[in-house]
Amino acid sequence: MALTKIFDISSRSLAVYRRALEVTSHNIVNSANPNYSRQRIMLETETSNLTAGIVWGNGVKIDSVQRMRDKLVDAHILNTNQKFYDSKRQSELVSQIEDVFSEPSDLGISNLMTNYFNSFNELAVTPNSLPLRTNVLNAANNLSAKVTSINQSLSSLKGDIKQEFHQKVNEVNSLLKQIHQINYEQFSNAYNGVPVNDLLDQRDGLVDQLSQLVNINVVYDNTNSAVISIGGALAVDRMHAADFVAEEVNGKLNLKVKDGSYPIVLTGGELSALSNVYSKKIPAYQEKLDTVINKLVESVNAAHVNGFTISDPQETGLNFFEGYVNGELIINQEILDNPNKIAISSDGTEGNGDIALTIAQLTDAKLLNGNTLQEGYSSLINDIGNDGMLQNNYTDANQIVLDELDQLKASQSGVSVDEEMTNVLKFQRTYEASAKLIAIADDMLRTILEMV
Amino acid sequence: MRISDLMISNNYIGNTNRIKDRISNLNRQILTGNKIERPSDSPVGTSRLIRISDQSGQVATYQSNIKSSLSFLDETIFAMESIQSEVENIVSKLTEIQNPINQTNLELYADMIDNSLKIMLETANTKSDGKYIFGGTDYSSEPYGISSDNQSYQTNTDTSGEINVKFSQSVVQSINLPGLELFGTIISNKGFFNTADAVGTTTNSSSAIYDNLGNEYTLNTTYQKTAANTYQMSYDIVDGTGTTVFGAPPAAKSLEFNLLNGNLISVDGSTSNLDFEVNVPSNRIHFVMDLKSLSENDSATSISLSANQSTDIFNTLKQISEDLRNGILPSDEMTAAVSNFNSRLISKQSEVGNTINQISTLENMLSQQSFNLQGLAQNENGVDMAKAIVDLQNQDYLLQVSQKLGSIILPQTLLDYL
Repeated sequence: MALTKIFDISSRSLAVYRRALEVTSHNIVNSANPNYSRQRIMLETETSNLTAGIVWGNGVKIDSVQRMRDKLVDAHILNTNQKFYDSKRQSELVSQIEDVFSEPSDLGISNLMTNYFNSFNELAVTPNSLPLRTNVLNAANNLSAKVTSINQSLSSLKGDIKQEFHQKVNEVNSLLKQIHQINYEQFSNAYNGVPVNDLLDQRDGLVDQLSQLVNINVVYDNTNSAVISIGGALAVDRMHAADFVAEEVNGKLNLKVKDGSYPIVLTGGELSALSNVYSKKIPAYQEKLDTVINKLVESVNAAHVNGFTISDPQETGLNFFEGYVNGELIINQEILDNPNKIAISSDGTEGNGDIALTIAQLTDAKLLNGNTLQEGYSSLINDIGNDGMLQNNYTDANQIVLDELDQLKASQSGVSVDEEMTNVLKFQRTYEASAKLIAIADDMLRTILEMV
Repeated sequence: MRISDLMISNNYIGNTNRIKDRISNLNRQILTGNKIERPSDSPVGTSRLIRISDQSGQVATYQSNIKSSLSFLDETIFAMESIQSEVENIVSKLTEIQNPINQTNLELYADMIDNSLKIMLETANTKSDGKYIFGGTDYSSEPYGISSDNQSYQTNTDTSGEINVKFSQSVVQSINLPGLELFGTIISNKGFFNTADAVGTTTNSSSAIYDNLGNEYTLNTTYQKTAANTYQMSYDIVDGTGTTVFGAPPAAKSLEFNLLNGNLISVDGSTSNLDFEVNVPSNRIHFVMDLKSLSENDSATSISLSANQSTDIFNTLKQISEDLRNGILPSDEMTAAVSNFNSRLISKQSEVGNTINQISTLENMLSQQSFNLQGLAQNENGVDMAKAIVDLQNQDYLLQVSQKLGSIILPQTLLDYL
């Protein structure tokens, strides 16, 4: 047995602990990287040999560098991400819709509608008063401007949502391509014995991003490639990445595989939120608003058409509203030009305001399936408010779950500088001890040499 | 559990965010004074707020309606009072004339009556807020004036219109005294039709009526049952010789009665106007035929016509003054007509007074209601300032503590001791 064995064991130890310090420093510098998974160096004894009936230890060696990751937590995070980003985006969009309606405030339709009917009520006291007639027109103009602006805002919001949907679909495609690339690289690197831990971190980060956009299902095949499907359609594996496109059919925003025939069922992620608000929520709100406004136009006109103007020549059979077309509430131009053409006299005399009373009483009339106009509108606002509150609550609830899961993930995969520094000290001391061993072996060798 | 650095910083950031979120929310509440900023803050609260604001908007309108109506009614009362003082003046003058000592100066009395008549006429034509007080709803010309041949006074417009105003959810009240009720001639058709009468049965009635110069005519009406609960009413006015004053017979009116209670429900299909105007300017005949008191029941058919006056007050006074100038003392009928007008005026005054009382009561109710609504809105949306400020201070304190702790704990690692 030669003295040189000490040199062998010590120098191997130096190499191992230098590598261990490298891994530790890699950990320390990535401590702030959220996608990074802490790596742990696994040490084991070098294979010993049996000489002269004695087992001789051969020092230390690196078995592997492990990536600390909990697959179960990862799967939970992906799942929760889909729910969280769906409800979060929906709550943001509904909040924008709430802004459009500006309720509860003096500027909302409810108040403007009250003002409109009240202006008729006041006009009935002095039906031939021009200021009161102008007052009616002002109230009508305000109401019409608000209704029109709400419809315009909803349309432009829909335009924005559609654009965002297209962008997000492009993002999905780009993420799928990157994941495909990494699938491929990690396979060939692993095959060639190149470490792939950092590539896997990168891929996990991309999958995480993808789960924020759309509902995905992830499994890993025997080559450790991520096989992802979106709503049942294969999106990416080691061999290829699918291309998705956005399409609008019958006012509904859909996602489908390029050249595919069926739309994908969206159940999570921002794409689901965008499609849901675009295809269901906004049309439902618009329909309710349209019902209220159409009824308002119909009932006011039905009363107004029977009235007589106090213009010269006197007229009858005039509509107050020209109509409610494409979201625009249009007031009869003749009336706008001449307030005396507001036809509120039931018998043609200028002091009669019975029609104004009839119109004012429409506020209390059960015009919408047993509800007044105001109640119909208020139920619309109630719907919007409830949708907003529901999504806010979902977001908060999912946020808590997500935070908890993130903590679990950080507990498993996050870097603790204290721990790493302890490792640094440990590895450094061992390194120093190994170096000392070499010096001692050197001394021993010199002693023997000096004997010669 | 293994605690990594990321966990500590995530924890710290998450908690400070939550505190800051609460601070910003409290801040907003204190600054705006409103708990509910958007419907999702409280969907039910928002619906309630919308309803409350709708109601208070309506109440404000009712209050403003009351204000302008009260001023109109006050002017009406004022006009009636000034007419009444003239009428009372005339009544005392007419009594004075009965004294033979005063009968030498009949011309002077005629002047005084003319003068009073002029003031009354002017008052009857008063406008308030652009509306003729006694002109009904037809403002196309002054309601009362003299005929083109200066022979008699006439009503130029339809003075029967009512200005209906909404004062609360359930109260719609007319705020004017239609001139017709005060100055006009109204012929009431009263009585019943027997429901058992066969279809085709006709009923006649007639009454004496007078033109503006006091000449007598006869008004004949005929009702014919055309179907169950339905009658056709035709009428004619003939002079002393039996000649009709109409060029062509006036169109017959169709009356419909309620099947259950027997009340008249419509005249020529209109449910709101249960009367119609008869105006024959060439003969100075102008009156309103009131059908409201007709009904159908089991008693024997009997219909009668009765007029509230034979000639209106203006023409009566004109006649008295002309007679005086010709040395003729006013007849008992004429004196009685003036007194009748006076009592009608007083009773109408109290009607208007009642309306004022009723509206004033409503005004009190509405201001109470408005106060209640404000309270409700405040309950729903108002911020409890004291609580909000204490909460804000509390959160601010928490934030400071967590920042202080964060600044001590976060940077500490083993590194600091190496």
